[in-house]
Amino acid sequence: MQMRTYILYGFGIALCISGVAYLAAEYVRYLSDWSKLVCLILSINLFALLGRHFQEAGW
Amino acid sequence: MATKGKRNFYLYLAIVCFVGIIAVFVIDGYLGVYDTFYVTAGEHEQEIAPDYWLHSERNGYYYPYQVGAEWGQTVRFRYEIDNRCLSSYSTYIHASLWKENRKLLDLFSEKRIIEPFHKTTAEWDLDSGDLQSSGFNIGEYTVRVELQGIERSIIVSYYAARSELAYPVYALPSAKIAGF
Repeated sequence: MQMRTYILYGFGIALCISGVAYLAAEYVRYLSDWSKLVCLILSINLFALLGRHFQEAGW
Repeated sequence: MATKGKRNFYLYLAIVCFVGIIAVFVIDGYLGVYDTFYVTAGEHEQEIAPDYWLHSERNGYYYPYQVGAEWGQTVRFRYEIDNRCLSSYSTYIHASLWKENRKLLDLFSEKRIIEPFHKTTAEWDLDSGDLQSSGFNIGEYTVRVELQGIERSIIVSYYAARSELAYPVYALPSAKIAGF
């Protein structure tokens, strides 16, 4: 059960990262400078918080 | 239990950040000043959507949109500006006709103030008769439209008016059909 949860987590995270990467590659040139900065800050927070979540989970 | 709650809290915050990134893309994509051209030459109306200008840039050069028109016809331009900003947008709309980097005539010039989330439309005609009377001939002309911080170019390519039909018309042998 635990293993299946982790696999689902892994899928979710992979999909999130690939989605963000796709958006960044296709549309980032259409964003204004302020939006790019906000997206960068949010991306850093996203990965930091995910890292913290897995640290707390004991990974 | 408290550790699990804290752990989930980080996960929820990460999800909020992800949703935030998506929201920035959607909101930033929606907000802004968008301009659309509707060019009518002959019986055809062509729409030049704002996306065209985003995709027309190659290696720092903006490829202008090209419209074909018969010499003697009037080409009608309808220019719609959509202000999707939180503040009003004030600009001069200036349309002019150019050939070989030389301005031939002004087509439209007016100051417009567009309220937030409102549209405005400017219309003008390009009459080839005016060009003919000024001594210009069949060829390519550039319609340049300038707004505050935006410049658009549309090339109007005039071609000779056809005196005969573009496709052959054969008379049907009616007697033969009747006899069939």
